[in-house]
Amino acid sequence: MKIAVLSLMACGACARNLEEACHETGHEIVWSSLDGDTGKPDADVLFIDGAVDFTDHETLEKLQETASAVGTVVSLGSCAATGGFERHVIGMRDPDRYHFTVFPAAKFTDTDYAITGCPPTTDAIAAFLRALDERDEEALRPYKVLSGDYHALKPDLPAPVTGPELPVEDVLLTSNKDLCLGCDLDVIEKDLFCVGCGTCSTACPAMAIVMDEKPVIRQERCIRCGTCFASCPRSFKTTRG
Amino acid sequence: MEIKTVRIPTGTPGDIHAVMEVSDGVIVNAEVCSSTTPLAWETLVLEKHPEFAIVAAERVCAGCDASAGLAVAEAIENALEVQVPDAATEAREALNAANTVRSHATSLLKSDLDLDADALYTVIKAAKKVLHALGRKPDHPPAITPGGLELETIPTAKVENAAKEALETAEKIKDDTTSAVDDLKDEIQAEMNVETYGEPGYKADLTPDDVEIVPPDEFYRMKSALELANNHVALVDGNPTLVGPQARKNLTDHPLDAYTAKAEEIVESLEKIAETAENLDPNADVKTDVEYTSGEGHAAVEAPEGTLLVTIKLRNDRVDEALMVTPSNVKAAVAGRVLKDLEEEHAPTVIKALGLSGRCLTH
Repeated sequence: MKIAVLSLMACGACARNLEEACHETGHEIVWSSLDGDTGKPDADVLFIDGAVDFTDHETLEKLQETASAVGTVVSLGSCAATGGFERHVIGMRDPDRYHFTVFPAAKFTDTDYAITGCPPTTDAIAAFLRALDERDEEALRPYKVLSGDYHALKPDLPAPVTGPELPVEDVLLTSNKDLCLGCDLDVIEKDLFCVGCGTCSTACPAMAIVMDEKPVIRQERCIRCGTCFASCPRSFKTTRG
Repeated sequence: MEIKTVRIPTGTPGDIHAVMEVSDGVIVNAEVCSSTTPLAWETLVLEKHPEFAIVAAERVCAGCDASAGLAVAEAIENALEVQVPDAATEAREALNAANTVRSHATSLLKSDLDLDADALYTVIKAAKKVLHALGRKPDHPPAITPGGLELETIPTAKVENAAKEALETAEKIKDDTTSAVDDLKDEIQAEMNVETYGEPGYKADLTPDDVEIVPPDEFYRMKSALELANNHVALVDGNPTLVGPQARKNLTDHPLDAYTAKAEEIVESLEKIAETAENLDPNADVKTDVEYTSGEGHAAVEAPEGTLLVTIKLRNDRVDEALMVTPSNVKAAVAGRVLKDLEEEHAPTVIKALGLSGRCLTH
């Protein structure tokens, strides 16, 4: 597969891990904004790395132009998928003039898949590339589910869901400090879906989850990347709301 | 005389622009700036828990992530007068060295030099093993915390083996890089008459009193390019000063020597990691309990791309004030001088070698 990378508001870890994964799996990066490539990429898959400031019209145009040229578009990492760390920085305090306007890239262009994580590990990206290469629909399903509206997901179980169902931007603008904005772990835990397996704690890139039979979130370290939700073995028994 | 604003792709996140006055194809005056939207680390950590300041600093730029986290943790410890166990300091030094290996190898991959990618990915893998072992994850290592490291035991054997196994490859990279840089130097005539700051090792003794932070040069405003400049630049002792691998290795004859210095630091860092791991007791205490009170502290760490200074003021368990001076803040001040008298076509190669990141510059 020929791969393109568009880096927006990001620290660069996702793009770096993608490069490492491509080297490992033998895929070629033919176009990268980090290396100065512009225009429409001639590629099979576009990975978008980072969030977008919607007042930055130049970047928005670049995003839409680039995404429209490629058949498969993937949000790479939590900033692209949910706004993640870039957007979360407004979550616990009054927004400053920059972050108030930051949204996940997926809000401005159709995406086919999302790989959450801050950053997604090289192994996780390599596994996705293999699944995509083989068109393994079952393996690709979680990535497809996550590319939609994260907060419109409902667990496919008979018990009622009492967690946040607001669109991401509405939740963030209320600055409700009690809600877990990115990962939906509260939804899983509150409704007794959690079996206390600890997968979320192991997966958390910020060591923000400790286990006390059930996961306890150390809010001071949580970056709202959604890795816990994506890794939870119960969260993917879901349908769109 | 022509004035040009050129975006320089450096392979790093964010944008770097050179605003240049060019005469007959030669740069006579230049400034380097960034239009990247600031993450605004200094403001986003206000009123937050000190641990969040570490997590946030690691996400400014992936190039120096562990070093940024370490600098913030040490500033917090200095503010609270916390004594970190010796083993934790040693392990942190190894962690910082692993960060340097990964960052430098990635930089060499992105350079204009024709180097063996397989060899570079071999040392990257080794560095990731060390980062994972000592930092609990290979990226933005979350084990870094005020008081030491969140580790139950130190996996010394894993760390030592990873470093030793990559050493031979690192030596080959060093030889290849030296040769490739020499070839490229024949094409690009450049000089560097600049002040330098930086010592080999982990901690630096830079203090806030040594650093002056100034807005972008009047030159930007004169040329109506201020909207491009979201960054400030930092002067050390009042002077534009080069930090980073070249300064630490004292290899400042030519800007491309940055790559030679990086290749040398990859070897030295792997040796340092192996030596540290060999001497560390796996069961040594690596964490002191921290009681969050009030205080002000600063710390400076030699990050892969240069000296990184953090000052933090705490009020109980909240951040009251914070300041970060990054390697790119300092190097941006010197970049214009390095471009002076250079042929315009070589500007991208030289700026890329200096290791600037737009994200680092605006943080």
